[in-house]
Amino acid sequence: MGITNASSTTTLSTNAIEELPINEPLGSVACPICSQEFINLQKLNKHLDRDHGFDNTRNKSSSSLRSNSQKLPTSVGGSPKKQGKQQRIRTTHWEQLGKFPSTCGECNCNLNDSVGATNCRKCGKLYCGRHCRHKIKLNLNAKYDAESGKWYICCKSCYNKRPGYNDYGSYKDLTDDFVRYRNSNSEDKALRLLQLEVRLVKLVDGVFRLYKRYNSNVIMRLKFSNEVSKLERIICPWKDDQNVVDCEICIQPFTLTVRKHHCRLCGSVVCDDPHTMCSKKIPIQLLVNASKELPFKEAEKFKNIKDIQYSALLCTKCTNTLYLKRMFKQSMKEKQSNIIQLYENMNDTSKVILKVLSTFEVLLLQVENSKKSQDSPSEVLLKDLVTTRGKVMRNFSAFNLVVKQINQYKPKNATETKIQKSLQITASEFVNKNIIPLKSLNFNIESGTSICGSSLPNIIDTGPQVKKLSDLLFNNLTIKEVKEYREELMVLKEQSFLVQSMVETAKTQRKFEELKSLDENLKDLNVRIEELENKLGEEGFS
Amino acid sequence: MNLFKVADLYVSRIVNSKAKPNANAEESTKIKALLLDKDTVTTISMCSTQTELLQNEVYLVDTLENPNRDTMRHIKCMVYISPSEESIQLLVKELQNPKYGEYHIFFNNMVSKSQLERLAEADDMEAVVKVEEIFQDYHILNEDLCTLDCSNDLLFRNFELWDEDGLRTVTESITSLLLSLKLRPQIRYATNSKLCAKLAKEVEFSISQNDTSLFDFPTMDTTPILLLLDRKNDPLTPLLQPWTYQSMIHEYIGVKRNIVDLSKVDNIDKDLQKVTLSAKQDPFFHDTMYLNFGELGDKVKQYVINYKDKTQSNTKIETIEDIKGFIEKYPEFRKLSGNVSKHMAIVGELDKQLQLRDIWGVSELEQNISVHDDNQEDYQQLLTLLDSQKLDNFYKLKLSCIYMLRHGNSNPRQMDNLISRLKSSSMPIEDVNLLLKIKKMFHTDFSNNTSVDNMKKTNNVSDHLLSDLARRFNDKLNSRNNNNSTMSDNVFMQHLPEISHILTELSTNKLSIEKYKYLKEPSSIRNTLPPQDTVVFIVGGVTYEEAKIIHEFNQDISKNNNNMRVVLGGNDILSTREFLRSLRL
Ligand SMILES: [Zn+2]
Ligand SMILES: [Zn+2]
Ligand SMILES: [Zn+2]
Ligand SMILES: [Zn+2]
Ligand SMILES: [Zn+2]
Repeated sequence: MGITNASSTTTLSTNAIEELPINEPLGSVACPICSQEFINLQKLNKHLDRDHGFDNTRNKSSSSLRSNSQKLPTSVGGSPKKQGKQQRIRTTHWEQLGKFPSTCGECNCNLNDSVGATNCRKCGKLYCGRHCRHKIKLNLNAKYDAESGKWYICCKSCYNKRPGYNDYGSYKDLTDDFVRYRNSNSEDKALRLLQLEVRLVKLVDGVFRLYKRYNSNVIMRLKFSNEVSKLERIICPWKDDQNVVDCEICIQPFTLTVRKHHCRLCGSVVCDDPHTMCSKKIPIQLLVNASKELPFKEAEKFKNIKDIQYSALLCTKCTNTLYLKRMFKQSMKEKQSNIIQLYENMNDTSKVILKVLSTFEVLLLQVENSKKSQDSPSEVLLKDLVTTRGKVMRNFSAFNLVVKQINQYKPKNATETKIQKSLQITASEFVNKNIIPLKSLNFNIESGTSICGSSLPNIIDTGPQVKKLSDLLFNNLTIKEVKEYREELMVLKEQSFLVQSMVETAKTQRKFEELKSLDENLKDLNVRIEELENKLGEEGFS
Repeated sequence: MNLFKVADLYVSRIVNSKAKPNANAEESTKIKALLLDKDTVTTISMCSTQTELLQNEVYLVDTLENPNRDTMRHIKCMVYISPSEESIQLLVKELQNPKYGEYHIFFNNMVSKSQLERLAEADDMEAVVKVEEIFQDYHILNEDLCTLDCSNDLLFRNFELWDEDGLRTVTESITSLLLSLKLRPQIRYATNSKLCAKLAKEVEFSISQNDTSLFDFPTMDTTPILLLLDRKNDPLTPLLQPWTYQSMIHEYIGVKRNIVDLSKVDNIDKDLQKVTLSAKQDPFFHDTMYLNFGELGDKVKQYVINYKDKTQSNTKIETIEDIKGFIEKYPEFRKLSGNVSKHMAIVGELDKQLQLRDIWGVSELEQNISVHDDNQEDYQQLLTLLDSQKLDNFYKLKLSCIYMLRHGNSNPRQMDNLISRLKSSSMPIEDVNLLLKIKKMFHTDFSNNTSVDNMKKTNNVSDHLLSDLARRFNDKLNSRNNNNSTMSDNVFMQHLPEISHILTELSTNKLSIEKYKYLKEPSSIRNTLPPQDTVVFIVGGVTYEEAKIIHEFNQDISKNNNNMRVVLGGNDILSTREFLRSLRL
């Protein structure tokens, strides 16, 4: 059993493993599959048979030695003859050579004896010698077993399909940890918020009560501020500021100019440095308005909030705790910026275009095909084509309109400017990718009697000659375009009317800065309107 | 193991991030902002383009550092930052007063528990909907080359002692490289290198720390190898003038994060003052980056001719259809013409620099010194160049340095001669001192350099993989003699970097275990196959010439069914100047 001399080693290597260098020092040979070293060829051969499943090809090797004309289908794919003490790898799934003209699963060359057909030990498919040289660890069931399998040869596909081989990009989701950490202190935070809210309600209601009591005359009003000061000290215990030398928030030392203050809600000692903004005086009106849902009792009944001259000094910590989340949630509900609205319009329109275009192209193809097969396209088909084309055109003009609106949009800040720019690039890429290629798409529908008869008017607006889509899309003023221009004109006029009325309001409210940009806007609109009206000429609104 | 593919995977993870796995359509159409820090801004700019980002509705890219960002609550924000103290601090501030409505946070490496807790503490608004670690704490230059962008002088002293922060940075980055490739390797390192030994231990420790949580990849039938090499063992390669396109641009013009600065070139077009050069986005560069200067000339010529042909066919614009046809192709033409003029400008500048600095003579001599046995002819040539008025002192220093590394030990008297000669010449004394310092630092005598030995050996062994490559390469050069006057011989590329020899041995399982030790000896070395996946990291920086060898090695795999895939990394990309500069400090 096995290979018995040097020449058979060559046969073996053309079978499977010829690229492996066997340039070991004389007297020792390395296994071409697992690199284990052996003192002589005999030992190596035994090892190959036993550990790599080579005895299955024994007949083949020896037969090709004896005579090349001898057939070998029985050898490849034959099951092991003896179930001796050594267990052998499964071979029952091997593809047989010879029954059909077999080809290499990788290069498609015809397989016969001379190219050295080999079965992939894993999938069992037949390959030529050059394409079954990868090494893989398999168990006796011919299943991949990286831990305790033994080395066998396999095909490229089996090699690449090993789990983990072409797998990249580890990542670790920490969201759950994060949320857990966030929740772990949210209870404390909620308690603190509740405490502040209760104090705020107490403070505000107290101030209102005092105001009502002392509002009647000037002398009493002096009393008011005294009483308020007393109230403030009841709301929360003030920290003793004797020993406090640094601001509790920004940690800078207090000086003659950086003065100590007590936060009216938490009592901590903070500075009044306008640069660090550790504390702020907030008018009572604002305090109430920003947290309307709190259960104020007095404030509810009181209409003339504006009249109360009282501002509470709050530290930033308290202001943030009380109001940041409220403001954040509030702003999420507000109307989004117009530029985002425009983006959504553009996005929707381009999605529709893509969808309609694909239908359109399918229809075109059907028309082409039916023409090739000498049939005239069915009326239904042509009608569909016409409607779809109408849809395409309408959506193109809708897209155009959005793009124009984007171009004309006056950004409110640097971020909007950036978004506007991005949108412009996206729009032009979309046009380059989806609309311009259409121009070269042949649109060979011969209208005219021969094919569709007179029952189908207006497939092509300008006559019976062969037309290209590009002409249809970009020639001057087909009927469709007239329609589109009219639509656009209508929208523009509407806009212009709106802007005009905005100009009027701005004038009456003396908002001259707005006026300037509105005027520009109006000018742009009017220029475009004039353009369209010129183009339309007599076709304008009747 | 294509690093660009890994990067694409990660970018798409970030830009397509969803709060919940099956989020509704409304969420997916929201405008997205991408918020980066100074590390990741580089990462993103090197492996993605504006177009790709726009296609994923990323309409706003900004940095966390920028305080002048406007509040836009209806935008969802993808944050991609390194878990550095600085960036975490900025993110804490951001979350306390969020500018956007929703935050998806990605870190480019492992984030600590305390950092995560601080962020959670700051997220009172509950604006954060996702937190994820991905692993790309390195910069990708080629599909099989990456750098950490840390120069040697920031990492260690005299190739002896790691700076503590430097060691941590390098360890973290290598760990992230392994994670991004999903490899749990066996570590081997240059036995004679203190830096590598220390680094090997640190990386192993880092892996074992995250053994179950991150490094739990399916066992492969061959264990991948992380091979740590020390620049000290091959100082010649970064001292020799390079000749491939990519490496020459780095050497003579300078390229940082894929940006080539041509602003100093005479009469340069306004549009060409700063050009991007990316193997991923520029197909011409992808095809030519590893070619030598001679081959490159032809390719550029062909490129220009092709361009002219294409435009010529469009010059006869007579009908309206012609005009339409031209306009339709116009964006493509503009792009092409931009690229043609870019490469023409670069190659022109390279050519000028070569002439100006007299590189041809320098390179020939230094190649000779690095491969020949010590001989009088080379030595005399060296003396001639050292006396030259025209040659820049830098090259004189470099030539002396190469001579010293090659023959300094075997011929000490000649070396002393040389040094006293240099002292009396116009060379600044610091330079002479540097030479002496280098002599001490690299006391190994590179006349017994394995790479040189191997050069000779490979020329005799026919079935040797890389000798084949080298021969083919040389043949090409020789056959070109007739039609190219500049590249008269292959004398400029005689030296073969040490790494080529190492890879060949590793891929045939013959790499000396004594010279390249296993950190943890595997149970049965004899019974293992050569590794299928290998990451080579060179402490002390890599050169683009070595990148070319890696590339050719990987190319050969696809052709020959050879099975070892290699990714090369280094703390920095070296030019000759950068390497000598780092030795000076
Ligand atoms: Zn074996
Ligand atoms: Zn084949
Ligand atoms: Zn297979
Ligand atoms: Zn303060
Ligand atoms: Zn407070």
